[in-house]
Amino acid sequence: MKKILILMIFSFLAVSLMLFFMQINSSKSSMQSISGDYYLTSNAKDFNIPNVVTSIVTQYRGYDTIGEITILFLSIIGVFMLIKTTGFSEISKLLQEPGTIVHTATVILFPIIMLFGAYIIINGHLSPGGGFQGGAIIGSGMLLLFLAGDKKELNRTATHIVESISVSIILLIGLLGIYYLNAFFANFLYSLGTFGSIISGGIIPIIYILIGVKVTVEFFHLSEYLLRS
Amino acid sequence: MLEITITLLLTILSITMLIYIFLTKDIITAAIGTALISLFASILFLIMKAPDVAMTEAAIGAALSGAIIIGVIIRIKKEHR
Repeated sequence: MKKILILMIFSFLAVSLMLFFMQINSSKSSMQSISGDYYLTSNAKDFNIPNVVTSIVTQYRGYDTIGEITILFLSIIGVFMLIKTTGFSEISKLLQEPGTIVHTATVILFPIIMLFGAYIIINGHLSPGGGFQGGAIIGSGMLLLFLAGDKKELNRTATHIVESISVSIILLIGLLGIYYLNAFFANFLYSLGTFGSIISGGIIPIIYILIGVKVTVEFFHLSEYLLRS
Repeated sequence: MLEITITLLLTILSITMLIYIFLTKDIITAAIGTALISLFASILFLIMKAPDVAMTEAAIGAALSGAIIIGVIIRIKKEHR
């Protein structure tokens, strides 16, 4: 009886919250409409890409993206410090031996998930998605390998080097923007390409592919250190 | 009208799952419940026309964080044995 009462109260709260948020959505505040209108109108002539979210993430708000990358990196460092790595010999004692269904499903699903993640990373400036989303998809697809009992050892030094090099190139591109156009992350490639093709938008696809590589490696490390060491 | 119905249904389902997580004694069931809430939230984001956020929520909230929580639970149980 008590539980049903609690449930009814929470459902009432949820419905009222939903109606409240719909009310906010219909009447925009003035600040929101000013910045939103600016992004929507100037995006096409500034960067020549259809996805406004990507141009905000990589160009208008490039500093925030650097901050997000740093936060991810710090959280991974925290995991490395907390977890005692015992080496590969003790790997996969945590997980049970997989059954036939899990093994077969992994063989079929794993390549499709990898391909889908790569598609989302490369088409980040044309369709919804991008480096973070595609990297998260590939990184969580790697979980399937652990669940299927894959015993192959990965060279951790090589993945660390790939991660560091991608971050360094992102920062180098930002500094090149200062050198050419006096602004961090300025789009210094003048040939923006044709609207809607893969090679367009100047430095935006390059930055997003590098971010995708970094996010993939970081999520892979996170799950590998937690589940396999 | 269909969108409002789906939104209402998903909101009530998420709240019910939240209460179930609080009341249950099994900790692995609770971890799976949090992943389910993330799945409902990703559908809600899709209805609110934010496909980017929906993708991130489905990949990180439903898959990665659930797997990490379950992995940590298994680790703790093995080390206490």
